[in-house]
Amino acid sequence: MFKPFANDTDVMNIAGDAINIENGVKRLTISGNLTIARDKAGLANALALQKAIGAIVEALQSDASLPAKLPDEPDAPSGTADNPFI
Amino acid sequence: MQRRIKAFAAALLAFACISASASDCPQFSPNGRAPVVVNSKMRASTQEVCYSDFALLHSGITKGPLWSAEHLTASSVDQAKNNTRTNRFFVDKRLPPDEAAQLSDYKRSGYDRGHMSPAGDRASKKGMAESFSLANIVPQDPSNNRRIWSRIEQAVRRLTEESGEAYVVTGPLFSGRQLQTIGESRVFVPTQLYKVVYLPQRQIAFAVVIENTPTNTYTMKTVHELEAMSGLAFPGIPDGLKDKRIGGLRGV
Repeated sequence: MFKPFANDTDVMNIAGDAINIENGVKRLTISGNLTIARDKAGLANALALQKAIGAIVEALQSDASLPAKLPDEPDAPSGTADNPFI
Repeated sequence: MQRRIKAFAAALLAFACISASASDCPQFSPNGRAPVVVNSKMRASTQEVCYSDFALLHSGITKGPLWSAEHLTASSVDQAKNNTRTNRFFVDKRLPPDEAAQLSDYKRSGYDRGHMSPAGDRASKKGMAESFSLANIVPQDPSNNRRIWSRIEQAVRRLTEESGEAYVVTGPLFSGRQLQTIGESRVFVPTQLYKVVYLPQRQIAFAVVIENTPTNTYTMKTVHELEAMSGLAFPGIPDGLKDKRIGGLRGV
C-alpha cells in the first residue's frame, strides 16, 4: 500500500520500473515512461497510476496547513575521499 | 605417513582457497562462473550477497555493490512487465552495519538511489522487493538514472526478448585520484557505471559505459576493455568474444 508523503523509503512501481513513484515526506517524485496498450494489462496499469495520483491529491487536499510553496532544500554537503583502488 | 598428512593438508588448503573464491550463488553467471575481482585493492571488506534472482558483491569500502549479476530470459522479462507493487529501500542485515550504506546517507544527497540489477527486470515480487536493498544501489545522477540509464535497461530487455536469454552484470566504476562521498557513512559516488551483457545463443558479448553525470551519451566497450577499466574479470564469458565490438544499442 503506497501512502503518499508517509516516508522517504517507499517506491510504487508500475509495470516493472516503467513508472516509479518515489515517496518522500516533503517531496515525492514520479518518473518513467509508460506505454498503455489498449488491452487488459493496459487498463491495469492505467488504474494503478490513477489510484496512485488519486492518493497523492487526497493527501495534499486533506492537509489543512498546506503551504503555498515549500521552500527549496539545499543538498546536504558531500565529502571527498582518496580513491583506494588505484 | 608424515608425507601423507602433508599431502592431505595441502589438499585441504587448496580446497579452502577454491571455496573462498567460488561463488555462493553461481546460477546468475554464465557457466556458473561469477565475476572475479582482479584488482586486489578492491577485495578488502567484500562480501557476496545472494538474492532470489540476482547476486552481488558488496564492498564495505564503497558501501555499495562492485558488481550485480542477473540471468534474464525472454519469459522472465515478459513477466517483469506485469510486476506492479510498492517496494521499500532497505539495509540488508547480513552486512556489517559499519560497512553498509544507511537510508539517511541518500537523503538530500542530490543523487538518486540507482539500482544496479534493475527493479524492472525482476519477474517475481520477492525479487523486485530484494532489488531495493541498498547493497544493490549506488548514488546515481538523477537525470542520468531516469533517462538514458532507463533506456539502456530497456534496450537490454529488448535484446533478451530477441535473443532468448542474457547474462548481465552491472556496477560502478571509480576512476581518478579523488572521489566524492555522500552521507555520514561516506558512500562512494561512482564516476561511471557499466553494464556487461552476454547473449549466449547469439555468441555476442559487449559492455556499455556511461558517465555518472546528466549525460545523454554512452560508450560501447569490448569486454576486455571493460575488464581493464573495472579491475574485474568475467570468466563465464568465452574469451573469443571479449575483443569483439558491436556498433551500439538500438533505441537508446
